[in-house]
Amino acid sequence: MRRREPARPGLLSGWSLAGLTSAACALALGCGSGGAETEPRPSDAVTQGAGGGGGLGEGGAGGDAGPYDGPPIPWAYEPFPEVPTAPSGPDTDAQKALGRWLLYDPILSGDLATACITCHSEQWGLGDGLPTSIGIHGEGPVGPGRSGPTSTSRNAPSLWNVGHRRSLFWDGRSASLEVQALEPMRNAIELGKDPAQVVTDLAAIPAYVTLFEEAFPDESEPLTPDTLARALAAVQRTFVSRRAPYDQYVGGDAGAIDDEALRGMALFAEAGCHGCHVPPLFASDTFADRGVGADDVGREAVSGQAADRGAFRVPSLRNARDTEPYFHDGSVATLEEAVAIEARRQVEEGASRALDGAELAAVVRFLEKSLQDTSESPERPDAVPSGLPIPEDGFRIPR
Amino acid sequence: MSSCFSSRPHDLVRSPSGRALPGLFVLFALGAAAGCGDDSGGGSGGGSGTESTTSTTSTGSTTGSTTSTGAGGGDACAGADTSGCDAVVGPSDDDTTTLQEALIDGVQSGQTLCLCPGTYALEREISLTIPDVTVRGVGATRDDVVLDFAGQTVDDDGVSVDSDGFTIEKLTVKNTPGNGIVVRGAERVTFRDLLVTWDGEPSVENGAYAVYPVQCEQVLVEGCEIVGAADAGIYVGQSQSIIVRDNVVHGNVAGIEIENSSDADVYENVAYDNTAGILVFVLPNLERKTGERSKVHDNEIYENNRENFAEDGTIVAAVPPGLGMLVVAPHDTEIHDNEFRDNITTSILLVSWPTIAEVLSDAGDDPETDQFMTGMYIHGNTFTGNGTDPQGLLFTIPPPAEDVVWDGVEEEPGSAALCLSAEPPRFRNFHGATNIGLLANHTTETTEHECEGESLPAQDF
Repeated sequence: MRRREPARPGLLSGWSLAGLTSAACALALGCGSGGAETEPRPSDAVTQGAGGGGGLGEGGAGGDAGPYDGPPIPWAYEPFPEVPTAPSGPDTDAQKALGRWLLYDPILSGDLATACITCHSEQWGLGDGLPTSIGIHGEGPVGPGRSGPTSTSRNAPSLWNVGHRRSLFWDGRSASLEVQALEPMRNAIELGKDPAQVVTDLAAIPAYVTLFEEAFPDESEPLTPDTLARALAAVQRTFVSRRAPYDQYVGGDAGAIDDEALRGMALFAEAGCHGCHVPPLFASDTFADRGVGADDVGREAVSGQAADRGAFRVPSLRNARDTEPYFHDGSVATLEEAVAIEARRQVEEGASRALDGAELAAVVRFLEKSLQDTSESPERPDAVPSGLPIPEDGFRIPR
Repeated sequence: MSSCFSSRPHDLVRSPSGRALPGLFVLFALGAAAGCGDDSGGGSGGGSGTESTTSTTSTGSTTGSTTSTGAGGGDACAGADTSGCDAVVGPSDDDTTTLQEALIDGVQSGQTLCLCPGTYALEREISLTIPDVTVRGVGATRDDVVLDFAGQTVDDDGVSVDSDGFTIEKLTVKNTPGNGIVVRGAERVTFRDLLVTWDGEPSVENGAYAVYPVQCEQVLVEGCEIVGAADAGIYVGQSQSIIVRDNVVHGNVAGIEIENSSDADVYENVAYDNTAGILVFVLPNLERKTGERSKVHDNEIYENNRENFAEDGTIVAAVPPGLGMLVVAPHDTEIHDNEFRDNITTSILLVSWPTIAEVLSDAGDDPETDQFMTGMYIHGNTFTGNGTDPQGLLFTIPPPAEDVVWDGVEEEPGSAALCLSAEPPRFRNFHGATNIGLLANHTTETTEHECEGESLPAQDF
């Protein structure tokens, strides 16, 4: 097994650091000025570590990072953040387990055949592999090929690292998972069942009554729309992807990312991608108009600001390999195409030059190889407490 | 009901630093790797493998810092050859945590985790995301190191790997509720000298696939024995550049299956007592739409007459017993110098997708997938005692059935380009699924197939 040399600053040859800065700034202009919750920008400083000589030692969880001395990364190092705690306190195992049942149970839907995982399947990057989603009254297994009388107007967002989000939905209209969780039930073409009715139906299933009592023992009324939302939020906070090769790399293992992907990482930074897809989550709660899809006002509907027209929340790039098709309307089939569109957009917004085909491929390799970790996927149960059949999944790979 | 979300091992390892991992001993190499703590004192770089026994400690979200405990862990591997090992684990009170944490914080890219002899009782799927890691049993044989998933309650698969450069060798994996070892989307994957099996008689309750690389490049499977898979023992799916050699597969529904893959070299394997010995498939509704250039040669394929025990509804459940090879719709396949013996239906059955769709009422449709076999070169094989009792829809063929049976389905006349060489085997063309039972419509003439096809190159990577 060969050891690889850490990325050298020379990888940035051809583009000056100034170019990087201007690209990132230009991009920042494109990131919705009206966004209510704007993440701090990463520093433009390019961190050049000690060449892989030492480990992080004290770095890591809890945000108590010492000086970064891992292999070089083209941005300021930030430790992977812990998932923010729910307003009501840390999630209990009982709440997470209950949330998992609810995630897979079509009792939440108006047609008793559709579940959260119909559009957020662990087999499809916690999305559904479709351009836009087919909710209730759909036909066929989850995944490409599913059809139905209606479809949503936007692509199902991946739920990876969704617990870190402070704005949810493509337009950011919900500020917490607890607020968001009931919305797909209220939506007539997603789950199509009023949360109050869901609660009534759950209350008729003794197993759920017990599960809610165990999950919310301190509540005088353990089964309510509020606790339903809290359980769904709890399970979603377990969808953490933090063991990708990138994490191993910044943890001191210079060989965890191969040379081509390292080149892609440098190019990713040079093109300013990290201005919005901010490491280590490779996401931000900002909004950007990337010139894809013309008919959707996006963030403007929430902010009321014309400047936000066509702007959408920046998605996470972790496990992006699995979440095709891309963009808010799912109009872009492959990651290669998506990266090419983004790179062109960066040039339009001030990046100093375009990326050629080989460079785009390197960026794609970085994303596909270095940001992939699905080890915390939810476990698909064999059955759910309602006794209803779990929506069949087309499965990306044969089972 | 499963309590699947209670403190998975991945979470455990992120606990505050300082907690020694049970049963994990790091031998002499971590200190030399980038990112290891300066204070580990573990950099001697060689030796007997017992001179430096240090336990890795968890360091939050980082990896690699080591502290010396000298906990006497070397005893667990007494007598074993631990040369080349960067970290060593032995059986412990909590094998799941030991092994999972070793694969999170115990190794870095390019390193080898060695497993001491013993049985590891595993309750969860074990996952790996670090590139270029080797997992090796260091017993005298693969039988000495056993990963037993009989008590698994969380997830279905045994070992799940996302990272490039993964090698697993010289150990046994058994009793996984789902698949044995799954590697997905990776380059340079090696399975070597493994036994993957399930206790008891082969059963539908067993996992579907034992060795299961999918969407991979440069896959090597060698020296393995696979017994009891309820679908395919060695399944290589949607991959390219593949070598499957020197394996023994028996007691499975399908012994070896190459599916929607390119450039597979399958040789010197022994496949017996499966429902079907070796399958080369192109199936619809998968991400990768084609399969081409499979070379299947110098294999011993005999007595594949086991009753099909696959789960109802799966495609493989429709495979009749008694098949040496089943080929569905690939391009440019070469089958040569194999020995076929005593497979009671036929030695080689060649079909295109329309025949499968006809046989299966609900086969699905996928216009993007190639549906027709094109380019098939069969030569130099030996056939003994096959076709004595044709099963399934071929039961009407009077025994002994011919050694190559073809459905005759082509996209256009001649497009199958089926070449049987100048010395063709006994051959039958049943001219489409609707003629399977109409013997009068079958032909056994080989003249138009007495041609030489193109020999495929050996795989080398």
